[in-house]
Amino acid sequence: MSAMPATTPIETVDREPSVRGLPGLRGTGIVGHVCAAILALAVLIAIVGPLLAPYSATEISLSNSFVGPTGDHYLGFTGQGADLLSLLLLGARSSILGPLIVVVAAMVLGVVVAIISAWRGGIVDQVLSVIMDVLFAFPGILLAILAAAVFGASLQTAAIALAIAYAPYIARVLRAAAIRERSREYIAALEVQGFSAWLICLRHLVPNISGLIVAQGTILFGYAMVDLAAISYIGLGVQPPQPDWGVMVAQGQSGVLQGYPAESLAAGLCIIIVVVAVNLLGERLNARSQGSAR
Amino acid sequence: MSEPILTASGLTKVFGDHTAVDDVSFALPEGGSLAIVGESGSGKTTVAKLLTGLERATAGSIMACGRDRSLPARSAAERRRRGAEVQIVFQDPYSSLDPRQSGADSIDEVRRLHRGGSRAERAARVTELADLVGLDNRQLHALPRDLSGGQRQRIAIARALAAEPRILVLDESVAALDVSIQAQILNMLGDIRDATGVSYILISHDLAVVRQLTDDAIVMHRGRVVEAGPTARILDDPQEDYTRLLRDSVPRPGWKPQRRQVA
Amino acid sequence: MSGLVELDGLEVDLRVGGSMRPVLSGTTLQIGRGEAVGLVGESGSGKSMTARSIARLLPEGAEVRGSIRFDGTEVTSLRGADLRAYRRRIAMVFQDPRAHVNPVRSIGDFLTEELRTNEGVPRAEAERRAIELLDVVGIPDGARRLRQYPHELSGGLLQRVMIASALLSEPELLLADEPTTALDVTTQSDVMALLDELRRERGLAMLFITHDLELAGAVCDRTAVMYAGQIVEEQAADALYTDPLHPYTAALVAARPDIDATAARLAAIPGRPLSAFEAPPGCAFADRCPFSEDRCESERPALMPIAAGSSRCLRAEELRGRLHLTVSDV
Repeated sequence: MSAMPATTPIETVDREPSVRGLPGLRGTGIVGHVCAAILALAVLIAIVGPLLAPYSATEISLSNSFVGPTGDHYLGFTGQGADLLSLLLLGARSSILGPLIVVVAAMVLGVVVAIISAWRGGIVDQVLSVIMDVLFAFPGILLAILAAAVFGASLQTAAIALAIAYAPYIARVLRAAAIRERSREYIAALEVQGFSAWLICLRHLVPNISGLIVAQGTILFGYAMVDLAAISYIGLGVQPPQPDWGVMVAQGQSGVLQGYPAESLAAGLCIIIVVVAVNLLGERLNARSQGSAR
Repeated sequence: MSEPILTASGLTKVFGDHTAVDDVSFALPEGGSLAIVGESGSGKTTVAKLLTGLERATAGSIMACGRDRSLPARSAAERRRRGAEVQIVFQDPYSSLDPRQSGADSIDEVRRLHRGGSRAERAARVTELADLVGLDNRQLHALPRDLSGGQRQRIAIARALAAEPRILVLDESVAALDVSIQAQILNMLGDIRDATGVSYILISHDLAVVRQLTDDAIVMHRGRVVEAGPTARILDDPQEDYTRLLRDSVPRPGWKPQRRQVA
Repeated sequence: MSGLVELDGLEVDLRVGGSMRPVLSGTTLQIGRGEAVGLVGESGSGKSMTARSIARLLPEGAEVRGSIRFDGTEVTSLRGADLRAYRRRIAMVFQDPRAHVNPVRSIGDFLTEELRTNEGVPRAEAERRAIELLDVVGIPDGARRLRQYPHELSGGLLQRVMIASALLSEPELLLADEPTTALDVTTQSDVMALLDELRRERGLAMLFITHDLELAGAVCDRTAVMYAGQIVEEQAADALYTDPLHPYTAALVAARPDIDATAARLAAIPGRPLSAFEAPPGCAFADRCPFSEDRCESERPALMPIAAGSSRCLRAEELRGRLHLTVSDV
């Protein structure tokens, strides 16, 4: 209620020049750019992988089981005699699509809950917070196993279950940012103008926390990828013979025991590269969005 | 004196067990300007929120432009109409603009909501408003972070005027500005009143600013009105102890600070 | 009155982004023992940076040229133990006390920490001294206040606690940076009276930073006016109104609305205040000044003695005595 100037007014415009870089990645440094490039490549492979793959996933010949690299098969064969490189290229799609579904669903859910909490405050906020806290207590994988038991094992089921498990985490982080933004006077000015609440949120509030939304989404992508791979590994996600990196880690298991770890290693390495890139980028985006939040 | 354009009667706002505004009444004549003077905790900012519908009164009524606005708006049309009657300019020019929106865009957005019109018509009106508040084309299209506090406050004023409101609530709108900029904005607010006939409610702790911009004033202390009357009379000849204390606390040539007992 | 603090041609550059940007460009100022000097100016004028330079509290990477002497010792080159010893001789009070106190520690901890850790005073003794001091700053029930936390105190009370804390180490110089700007006007009067009284009793020198000329006039012996990183005028505090020596001071006085009269139009100064890095080659105020001539654009004036003060205006002599009359008519 104080009416005093908050600080000595700063009349001069004094802004640091923007650090060079691509528009969306400004301020994330060289690491951010390299990570973004790796991710772009991964997404590209997910899209056009089937066109690049020299062999299909079903061209299996048990006589080639665990055969090493040859002239036509750069990475050799899996335990079931399929071409390893082709399998990696084909598996990229579900390995990347899965986490994407998780992220989009969890973000939509989390953003909606966070905005409603921040906007209405009071009892609505309290009730939503309690619900989120209860959901928060469920490990994502446990929820996915339950969902697989009830609805049958598939990538979609696992992804939706994970999204529901992650949403409270997103909602909690974004709620704080949304409350901070809600309290700024430009929002009050728009309310006084007569704009509807949802229009103010859609056009002004959400765009102003979009930096944090993107950063959180990126970090979540990494988690989702690892969790989905784990779920596929225990047989409750993507079902073989559909190619998937998580499934490949599981199927390569027998090879590991027999001294032919190529399949598990290659698929695992793909997962690790994408997850590390996504996490590094996410952390940098997050730091940037917090830096710009004043 | 003409019919009041804004009347508040018995306005009361209670937060939990704290009464922020206690039975406050006042009337603002059309084209007039009324100051609500007080220190922090006086309830003056809460009155501004009640007038603009940002808070709902516990008791009492507010009539603006002949219509009751004591209860929240029930429809989108009602909400818009209220927006076109009473507008507000806040104190802090740094948080009162959307950081992602240029002045032109935020003024245009308001025009679109209230008055519609073609793109060209709206653009012409945005330019007119920019002229009214003394902004050049570059400043109008710059993002808030590239503008000074005074320039931002001009945009906030233009945005508030975009809906062509009859009443403008100035909630400490010049308090955060440098002296030389404050004088520019005060002159401008005087010019705008002459040009548009808008009525002002000035919420302020600064008695000199109050004297410069308003005809009438009410003095608030701990939620209640302690004194009301013409601004000049209140400042030249305060009747209440609190008003006198307020008056005597303002530094001026020859003034010495006074020690009081801590409450 | 011997000089306690002497600033001579102080220039400070701060790192902004990748480049250095001047915030002070040649500040020269003396503060005598027990003297109160007001430093008045608008935002960006460099008044806070002047205080921070004296306290050696500039941001990382700041470049300082020129000299700051305290009691004859050059301050700019102090290091380690010498710097700590120097800092115990000065104290600072800020605009926003809440930003300078740890919210999760009690007032008692805040006030006694320095005594207990640096001087090894036992807790009971330190608390006794703190209670005594709270009484001095007008807070009677000190024992209860020591158990309270910052959020339980009003802004005015907390600022009194900050003043008590500033006095605890018995400094010789107090740097007060807008100490009452965030307070209500009645509280301001009260806190200023207290500050003024304590300062006089203890023979403490003070650099009082404010944007309020009237307030500076009420509690200071001399006032310096800053603009764009330089002092443009300096003289006895109460003469600033009646006999301003620089057009900027006169314009500042004229621009302020008057509590006793409504003006048809305020004498607003065109444009906006400049920061040091934006200053043109000539006089920094030239493009806003009603008295500027061609030479003002090209020639940078020096701070020259005039009458009982000094002014950084090429036409100071010629305009003397007319400034406060003319500006308000422009």
